[in-house]
Amino acid sequence: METALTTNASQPAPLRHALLWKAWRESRARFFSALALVILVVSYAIFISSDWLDRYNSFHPTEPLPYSAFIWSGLFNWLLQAAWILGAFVLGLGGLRREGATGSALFTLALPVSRTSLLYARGATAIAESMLLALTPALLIPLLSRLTGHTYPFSQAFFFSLCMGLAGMVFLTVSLLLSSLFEGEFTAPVAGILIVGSVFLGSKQWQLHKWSILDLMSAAGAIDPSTQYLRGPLPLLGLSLCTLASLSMLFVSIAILRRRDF
Amino acid sequence: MKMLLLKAWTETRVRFFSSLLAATVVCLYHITQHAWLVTLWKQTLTTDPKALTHFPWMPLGISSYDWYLWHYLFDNYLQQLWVLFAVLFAFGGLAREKLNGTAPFSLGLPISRRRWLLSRLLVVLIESIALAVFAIGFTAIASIAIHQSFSMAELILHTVLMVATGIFFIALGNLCSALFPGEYLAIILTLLLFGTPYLIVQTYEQHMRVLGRGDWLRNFDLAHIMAGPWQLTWATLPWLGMAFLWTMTALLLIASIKHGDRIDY
Repeated sequence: METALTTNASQPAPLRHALLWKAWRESRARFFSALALVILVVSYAIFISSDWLDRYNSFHPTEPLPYSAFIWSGLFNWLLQAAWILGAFVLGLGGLRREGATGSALFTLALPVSRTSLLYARGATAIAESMLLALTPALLIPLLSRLTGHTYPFSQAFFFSLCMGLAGMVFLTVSLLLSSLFEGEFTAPVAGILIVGSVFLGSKQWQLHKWSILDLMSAAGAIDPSTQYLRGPLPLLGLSLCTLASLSMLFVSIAILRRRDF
Repeated sequence: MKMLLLKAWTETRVRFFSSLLAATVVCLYHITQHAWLVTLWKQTLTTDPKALTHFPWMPLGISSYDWYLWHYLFDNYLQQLWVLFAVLFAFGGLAREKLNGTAPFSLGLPISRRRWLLSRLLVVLIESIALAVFAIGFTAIASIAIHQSFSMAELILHTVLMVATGIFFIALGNLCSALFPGEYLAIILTLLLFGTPYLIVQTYEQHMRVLGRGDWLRNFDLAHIMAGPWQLTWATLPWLGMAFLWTMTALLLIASIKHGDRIDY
């Protein structure tokens, strides 16, 4: 009997597509749930905005809060940011280590691809999904604002969303790293809650405030204090450091998975 | 019975120890922030003439450490953390085991599904109580360390109220974990369907209370029922809310048992 081993390296593209397809199938329910969460949060904030601003401005008639400040402080610096972090973190969960616990790792490992390719495919899918999750509000906020009688520039929403997605990639790669370390269904999420919670509380400490990744995600250092529109240049140094940290964690995850015995 | 409890404990202990760590961080953070915040509030009251109109709670925050603990721990962060972990402790069981392929081994044990479920929920309840007790124990010790006096009775009463009403979230987490399929999907769906409204209603109603207004949505503010007013007495206990939550808990548990009995593994 002859056994054909499908290790033909001359067909990398179909294999790559198959791996991406696998990663998408595994994470799509989480992606759509996270997308629903983001849409819910943005819609809620925008539809209560008029009432909320009227009430707030009646209390502060001399310093009325502009709509743009409500959008930045209520969404990009708070609710949307929290929802996106949660969504991105959940998208990074899963993978070989978890498959090891459910008994399906051997089937995945039998595919004629390296473990690095498996993680790259999963990472690429999660990055694409989380960027889509970050950029959805860029479209949604100007559209819904128009429906409620306000205006919010697309360019502002886009750059804030981009900043959130790029800096927040750290949370996604933390999730990928934790998924390479822990196999329990709830261990990685619980460890993630601890990390995200510590980052949140740490960023509220005035000693650590200038290092806050949450402020970097909302571009807090580059906004106009009165309108809370993006005025200064994007925090490129901070974004580069975040990208570097994300890549480092991705490579550590690969190193862990390559050494592990399934 | 002991073996069932041991099994449930082994399955959830990582989550439990993580929750202790998280509670330590949350309580320590807010206790260490007290002196700084009080200084900030005093400064705000003296420099901003409108501060009292916008933040009517500030004098209370400055003068009463009991109010400070209630506001930051029981009305906000400790409660949110406790609810999150109570839901996470409750996740698991036969429906999750089915995904891992281990359900037939558990079903092979000579006990009913109902007993299996109740023993797991008993462990979850004990862990949730232990988490709350640990948090207030830590808060009491840390408060003494920063030379703050507080009412231990208030602290205990608020903890009892939080746990007694919070069992609703244990029952909810347990049912969601059985109903929602997929890896990690159950967590995100539970947070999406119940966590988001819980947090949004809590924040909105806190804001409305500061403004001195009330609306129909306050009836769904589960967080305020769990926190109660800052000075708890028999008269100020939210009896109606408690009765509602206990009824809902009983209904959710009955639904879990019925679902567990009928499901085919």
